[in-house]
Amino acid sequence: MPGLSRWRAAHPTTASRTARPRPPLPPGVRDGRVIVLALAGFFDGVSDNWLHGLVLWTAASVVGWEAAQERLGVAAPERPLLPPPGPGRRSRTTSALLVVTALLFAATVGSWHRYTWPMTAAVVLVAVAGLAVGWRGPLTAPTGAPTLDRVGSRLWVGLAVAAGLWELFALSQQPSFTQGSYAHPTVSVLMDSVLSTHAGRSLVLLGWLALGWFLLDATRVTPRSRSRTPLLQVEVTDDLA
Amino acid sequence: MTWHEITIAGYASLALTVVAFQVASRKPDSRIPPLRTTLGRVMATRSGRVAVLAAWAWLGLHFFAL
Repeated sequence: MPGLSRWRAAHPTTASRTARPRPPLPPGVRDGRVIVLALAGFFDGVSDNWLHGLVLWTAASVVGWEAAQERLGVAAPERPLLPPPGPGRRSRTTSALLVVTALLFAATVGSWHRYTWPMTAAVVLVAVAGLAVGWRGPLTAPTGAPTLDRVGSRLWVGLAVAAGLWELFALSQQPSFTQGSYAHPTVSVLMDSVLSTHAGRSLVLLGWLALGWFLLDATRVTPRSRSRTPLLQVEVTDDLA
Repeated sequence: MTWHEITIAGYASLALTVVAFQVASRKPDSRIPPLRTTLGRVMATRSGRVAVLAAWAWLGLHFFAL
């Protein structure tokens, strides 16, 4: 309102007396990654899976805390897990070992039934190992690739958001959060028939392991940019608050 | 077209868009970075790595674990 802004400019003392300063949200809370993890934890919880929701909330808290530490410049130093790639023969042997281990894991653990203690222990073991490696540092020292195009990067982020919203829409159209729907199947509902067989479980486990390796391997190509702002950073300003 | 078909089509469209973006990223002077490079940027910090790997870990827990 132009009139209001002119009035405020003419009466700065009055404007400052009446305006209530809004406490800024902590940097960790403004982080889009924290918001996404917390929301995912909430919806997993209301789907009668509070344990997994707790895992996501814990992850959100850790990410928020660590992001705040990084902004303050007091985060613990990172240590690459592996030395720079060496001669071809050694890296091929390591890759072959990893592939064979993954195949054995998928074949063995895939024979176990879902939602049992042995299956849970195996998956948790791998998950914790992956998180521990990621916590320590990138897989190898960053190679210093060119800076990413911001618009192009945001297309990927937008696609991820769209996928999450589509899944959320399907979840919201179910008879209840705990009951699947044929008309609006979530990914979980679609996967139930695949995961009901040994072969299906083994294939999906193998895919999950491959995805984990792909993510860890992506830390080798870390574009160096001046800004360390996460792609999912949400800045809450006075205009938006 | 039933809602089941629409929902499946939505998931298929998202998957095809991933492929399309990845193919587009391979063109010279493309503004779309490859997925691996984008993930590398997201995971350049410890907080980014933990966020992405937590989501990956949750996938495994969600489909298999108690």
